[in-house]
Amino acid sequence: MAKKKMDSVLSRYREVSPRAVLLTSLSVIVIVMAAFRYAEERREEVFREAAEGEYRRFLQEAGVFSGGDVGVLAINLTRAREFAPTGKMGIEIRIEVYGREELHLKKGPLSGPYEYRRETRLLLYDSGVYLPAILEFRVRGEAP
Amino acid sequence: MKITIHPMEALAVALAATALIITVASPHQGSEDVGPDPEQVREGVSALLYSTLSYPGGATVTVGEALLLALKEGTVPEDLREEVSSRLDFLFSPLKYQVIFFSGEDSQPLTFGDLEGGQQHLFRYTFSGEELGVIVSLEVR
Repeated sequence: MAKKKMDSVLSRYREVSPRAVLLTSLSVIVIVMAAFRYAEERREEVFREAAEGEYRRFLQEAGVFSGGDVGVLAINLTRAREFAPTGKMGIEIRIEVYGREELHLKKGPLSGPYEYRRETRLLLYDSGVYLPAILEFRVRGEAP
Repeated sequence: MKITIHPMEALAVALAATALIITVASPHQGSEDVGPDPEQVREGVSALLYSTLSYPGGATVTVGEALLLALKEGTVPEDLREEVSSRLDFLFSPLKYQVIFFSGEDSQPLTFGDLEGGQQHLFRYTFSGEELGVIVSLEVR
């Protein structure tokens, strides 16, 4: 009786064609890979959102003037130096005026799998004068 | 002709189709470079026009106001031309550019840079109630 049942089960396995086994295995591999890819993209997106949040916070804390609809924002160097990142992220900030580096700030560990870079043209406020400047904002770290 | 398919094969084909749909539908970021970002161009123009110039005696004026005055008078002082060129070089480096400032229909436009063609952007600003138009042409990378 038991042998009959065993034979019946084995015969059902023998019915599965090698082509079906191959296709199923490949499909499973592709689905798993797609799932990993999706999860990785999601982590990257979360990191990018957090890094953009840090950028906006920097502008809020170090900015001195906003031109509203023209989008001009000036940076006060003294306030910029006091900026500190949050979370597992390191931040590097460079402000350049006509090829001269006015500020180079590194805070927190600049290591981790993800990186966010942004270059912005704005004004540097210095003793009542506004100079055109380029702000480089780099964040490196892990997704929160 | 009769085509027969094993149920397991049908299942495998369905799985493969699902896998394909998941892979194709999952978001991926494009990396095509289609030229200068308009937001960055606007930032550059704003940074130029709202930056200030210091005159002997301590008076400061924005570049936008100085350009409007030059457009009205029909001449650009050489030191203003040099300063604006130097700031534009810095802001748009390493790209080649041509920037045209204009105001109203009577004044002659002011042109900086020697790029012909390229990607064009138009911006309008207001200084002391007067409109200043800016056409920026930048080379496409």
